[in-house]
Amino acid sequence: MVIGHIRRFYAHVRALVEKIFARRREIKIGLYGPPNTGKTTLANRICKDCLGEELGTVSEIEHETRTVQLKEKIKVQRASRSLLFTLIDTPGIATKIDYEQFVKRGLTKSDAKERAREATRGVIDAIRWLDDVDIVFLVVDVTKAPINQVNVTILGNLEVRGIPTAIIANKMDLKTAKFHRLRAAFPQHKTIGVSAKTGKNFEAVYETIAELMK
Amino acid sequence: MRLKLHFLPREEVDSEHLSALLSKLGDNTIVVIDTKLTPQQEAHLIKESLKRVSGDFSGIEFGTLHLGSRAKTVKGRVVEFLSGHQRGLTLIGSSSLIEKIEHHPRLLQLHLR
Repeated sequence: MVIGHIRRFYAHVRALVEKIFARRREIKIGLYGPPNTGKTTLANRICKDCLGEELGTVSEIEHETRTVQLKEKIKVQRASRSLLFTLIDTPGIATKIDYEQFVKRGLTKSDAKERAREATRGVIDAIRWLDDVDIVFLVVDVTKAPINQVNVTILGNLEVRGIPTAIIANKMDLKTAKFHRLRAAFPQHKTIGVSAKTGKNFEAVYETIAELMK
Repeated sequence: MRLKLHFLPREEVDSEHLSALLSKLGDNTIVVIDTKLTPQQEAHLIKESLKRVSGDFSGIEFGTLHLGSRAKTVKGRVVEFLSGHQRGLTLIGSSSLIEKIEHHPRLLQLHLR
């Protein structure tokens, strides 16, 4: 625990020194969360808005994103500020990946096993990338119970690393969305409710990026 | 079905032991650790368990029972804080076993005083 505090202090000092002396480098913003919360849909909307092209493919079947996807030089204009960043879409983090869930979705057994193998490699990569991101959005499905092991583990790791974080409560277009339940679950974090699918309240994403990049 | 509980004391909670305990998880073993894992340990556990995913093993489920602070004085709380010991129990099981317990809750009963 003492080592954890020293590490956090060191991370803050290093960030401050880099801010003062280092050459301007592109901030890396990571999208993290459990599978099927809409991270890639969110990433696609940001990339479409800013670059005119999408980042990755989306699907109803979990673990569609199985490798870490990057898009550099995304520029967002906010008031008089020009925000330049790299967007990192990560595979959904899960503690278990069962190929039979893909078979139930219509994949053949061999395709399902291959998807499971790729998904496990993707999750391991996503966890490793926590050491390289500067800002993280935890993307959560606002229709589902917010307290789960994955969300708690991700937020805990972001906290010990001193990484600025906000929670994106996605799928606000659905009738079963429970925004207040999510906000009450994690009161120490800024939470914004959006729909990556319809674009509802998407301005709040860019406002939050500007705040976290200060 | 006979369930086995494997206890791991908090003094043995390090990356090496966490990785080794995954080999103890089978169809009927739950590992119980007498502390709350740190976020880094949780992330390490997830990574190591996913490396072992195969046809027979699809991963783990784990959860923590928080027991709160025992310290009654400020000094005691500071010592607890600095030592990093967080009172709690962490339970880890293979996802297939946890699914069985969810369907048949009476398989596992834990009484704490």
